[in-house]
Amino acid sequence: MVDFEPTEEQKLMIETIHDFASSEIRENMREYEKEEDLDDEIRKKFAELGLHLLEFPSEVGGQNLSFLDRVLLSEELAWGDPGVARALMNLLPAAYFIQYFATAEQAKNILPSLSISEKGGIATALYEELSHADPLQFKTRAKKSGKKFIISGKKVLVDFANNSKYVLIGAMEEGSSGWEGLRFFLVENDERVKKVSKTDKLGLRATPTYTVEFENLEVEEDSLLRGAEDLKKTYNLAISKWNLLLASLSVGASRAAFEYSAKYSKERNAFGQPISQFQAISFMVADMATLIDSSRLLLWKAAREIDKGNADSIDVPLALLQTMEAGFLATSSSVQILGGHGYIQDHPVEKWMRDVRTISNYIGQPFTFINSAGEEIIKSGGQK
Amino acid sequence: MIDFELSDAQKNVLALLRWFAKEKLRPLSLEYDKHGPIPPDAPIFKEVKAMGLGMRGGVGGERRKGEEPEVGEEKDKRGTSQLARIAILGAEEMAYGDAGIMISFPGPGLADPPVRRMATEEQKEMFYSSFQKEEPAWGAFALTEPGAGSDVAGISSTAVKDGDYYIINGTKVFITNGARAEWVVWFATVDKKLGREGHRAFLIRKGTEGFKVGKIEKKMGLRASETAELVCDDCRVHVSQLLGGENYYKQKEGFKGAMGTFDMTRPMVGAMALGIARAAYEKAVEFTKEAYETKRPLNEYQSIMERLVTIRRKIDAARLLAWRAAWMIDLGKPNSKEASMAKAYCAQVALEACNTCVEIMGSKGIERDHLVEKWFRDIKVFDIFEGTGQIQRLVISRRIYEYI
Repeated sequence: MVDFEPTEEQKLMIETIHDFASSEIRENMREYEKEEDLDDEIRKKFAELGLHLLEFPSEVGGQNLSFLDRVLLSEELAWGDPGVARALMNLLPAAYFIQYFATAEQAKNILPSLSISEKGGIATALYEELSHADPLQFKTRAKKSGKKFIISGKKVLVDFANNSKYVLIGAMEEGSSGWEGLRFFLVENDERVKKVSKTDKLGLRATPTYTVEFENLEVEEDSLLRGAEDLKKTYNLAISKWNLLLASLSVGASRAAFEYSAKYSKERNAFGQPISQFQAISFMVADMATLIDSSRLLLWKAAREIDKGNADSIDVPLALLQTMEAGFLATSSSVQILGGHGYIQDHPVEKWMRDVRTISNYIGQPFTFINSAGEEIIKSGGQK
Repeated sequence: MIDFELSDAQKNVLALLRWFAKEKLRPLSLEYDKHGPIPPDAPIFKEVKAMGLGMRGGVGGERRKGEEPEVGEEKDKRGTSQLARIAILGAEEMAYGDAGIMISFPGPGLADPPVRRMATEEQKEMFYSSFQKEEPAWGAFALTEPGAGSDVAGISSTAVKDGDYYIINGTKVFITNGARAEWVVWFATVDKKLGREGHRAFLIRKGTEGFKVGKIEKKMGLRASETAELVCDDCRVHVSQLLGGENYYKQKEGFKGAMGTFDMTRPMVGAMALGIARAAYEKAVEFTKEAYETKRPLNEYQSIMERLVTIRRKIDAARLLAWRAAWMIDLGKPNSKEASMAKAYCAQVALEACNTCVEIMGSKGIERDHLVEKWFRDIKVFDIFEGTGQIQRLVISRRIYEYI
C-alpha cells in the first residue's frame, strides 16, 4: 500500500533523536570538528539511547528493527550535524560486513562485545585509491600460509584507524580470481597496522581518518570471516546499506542547511525588505526543498527494497545519484543565501557544504552507480 | 507504515490502463497530432467510456449517488480512500498513451473539481446529468484571459446582476474542450476593485445566447486537444447557475474555490508529464539498445547510458513526489506545498527527459513518425498550464515560510 507515514514508533524515535541532536550535537559540532574527534561524554549519551545497532538481530546485540529505521535515525542525527552523526556510528560500516560475511558464531562473538565508546569501535579498511570500493580491483592481497594469512596492501579513507579496537580488512586472496577471491578479515588494531598518514579531510572532520598500510601482516586463520556463500551478492548488500546510510546523512545535512538558510532569509533585510521576498531567494528555497524531498523518498524506497531482500534493486543506485545531486544543490544554495556570511565559520552552512561533498566522495564516483543502473535499464527495456 | 508497494488490485488496474494506453491510444497519436483536434465523435471515446475512464475530471470528494466506482477503486485496510493514489497511476498511464487524447476524454473534465467543491445539490444534478447520456459530453474550466494567466486575481470578465440574471462579458483563452463543452465553469468578477473577493463562478451552458466560441488555437503540441477562445457578449446567466449560490461568496470563498482545486489537479498534471517522459525514455532505451549497445564505440554507448540513468532517476524521484501529494489527498491532509512540489518537479524533469531523448535519437529524434519529437512538443506546456513552474515555486516557498 503506497504510504508515506512513519509508524508511531518511528516518529517517537525520530523525536528522541531530534532532541538529542538539538541539545548535544548542534552546540558542540564546531568543537568536535576542531578536535577531529568526539568526546566520551557524547558517545556515552548516544550509547544510552541504545540505538547504535538498531537494525541488527538481537542475537548480535541489536533491536531487530529495519534498515528503514536506520535511515530515519541517520537523517535525524545528521540534521544535528553529519560529521558528528558519522562519528557516533563508529561500528559502521564494519558491522554490516561482519554481519553478512561472518558465520553466525563469529558474529555473535564479535558484535555484542563492541561498545561505541572511544576505544571500542572498528576501523574499516575497505577503500583503495581509484578503484574505491570495487573489490574486483582490490590490490590488497591475502596469501594463505599454513594456518595464517599474510596481508599486504594499502587502504585509504580508513576511519577510526587511530583509536579503534579492531580493523576490518577487505582483500583478495592470492590464487583466486573474481568474486570468489573476496575475503574479509577482522584483526586487532595494533602497531603492525601501519597508520601511514592522517587524512586532512574537506569535511566529516569529527571522524579521524587515515591511510593505512599492511606489510606482510600475519593474521590468524580464524580472523577470516567465513560465513558468506554468494560473495558478490553479500558484498553488494553490505556496501549498499553503507552507501544508503551515507546518503541519509546527506539528506539530514541538506535539510539542516535548507532550514537554516530559509530562516535566515526571513530575518535578513536588503533593499528595504526581508530577502525571502525576492524570488531569486525564494525560488532557491523552493528548489532546495523539492529536490531534498524527492531524494528522501527515493532513499526510503531503496531502503524498503533492502528490507524486502532486494539489495540488487535499481532503486539503490538511483537513490544514491539523486541524493548526491540534492546534497550539492541544497548545501551550495544555503551558503549562497547567506551571502558573505555563509562563507564564514560563524554559521554552519559552509561546514555542511564541505561535509556533504565529503559524504559524496565516500559513496563514490557516479560512474559506478550509472554502470549498475544502466545494466538494469537495458536489461529491463526501460519499463517502470 | 512507509511503503511503495501497490496492492494486487492496483497492479491489475495499472496493467489494464497501460494496455489501453499502449494498444488503443498510442496508435492514434500520429493521426491526431497531424489532424487534430480529435473530433467529438471519434470512435475511441466509446472505448474510453466502456473502460470507465474520464468520468471524474479530478479527484477528491465523495462519489455521487449512482456514479459507477472508478476503475479499481477500493479502500485500504483502514478504510481510507485510495482514489487519488489510483487516479495518479491512471494519469501517468493515459498520458503515456497520448496526453492530448487523454485530456480530450469526454466527461466533466476540469469543470469537475470546482463543481464537486462548490456547487449546490441542484446544480450538481443539473451538471452531472449531462454526462449520464449515451453521447459523449464535455465540461470545461474557463479562468484564463488574454491579459490574466498567472495573475488569476487580475481577471477582467465582468458579471453584473440584473434581476434574476447575471450579465456576463469577457473573453477567455486557452480553454481545453472549450468549443465542445456542454458546460463551462466561467470565472468573472462582480467588482474588480475587490480583487479576489469579487470573483464569482458560473455554470454556463453551451448554446446560451451571448456565449460564443472564438478561435481554436494552433499549438506547439497537445494538438489532439481542442484549445478554444470563448466569448461572453452580454451573456445572460440565471442566478441559479451562480456556482454555490450567493451564500457561498458571503464567506469570501470565491477565489479559494478555484485555488483549492489546484491542490488536487496539480499532482495529476505532474503525473501526466511523467507519462510523456516515460514514453520518450522507453523509446530512447529501445533505440540505444538497438543502435548503440553492440554497434557503436563503448564510450559513445556509455555517454548515452549516463543520460538515460539520469532521466530514469529523476522520473522515479518525481513520481514519488506526485504519489505523496496524492496520498495526502486520500488522507484529507492539506497538501498545497506538496502538490506544487510535485507539479513543478515533474514538469521540469519531464521536459529535461524529452529534450535528452530527442537528442539521443539523433536523426530519428527529429522525425515525426518516431513520436519522440511530438513528445518534446507536447511536454513543454506542462511547465506552463495548471500554474507555471514559477508560480509553483511561489506557492512552495510561501508555504515553507509559514512554518520555517
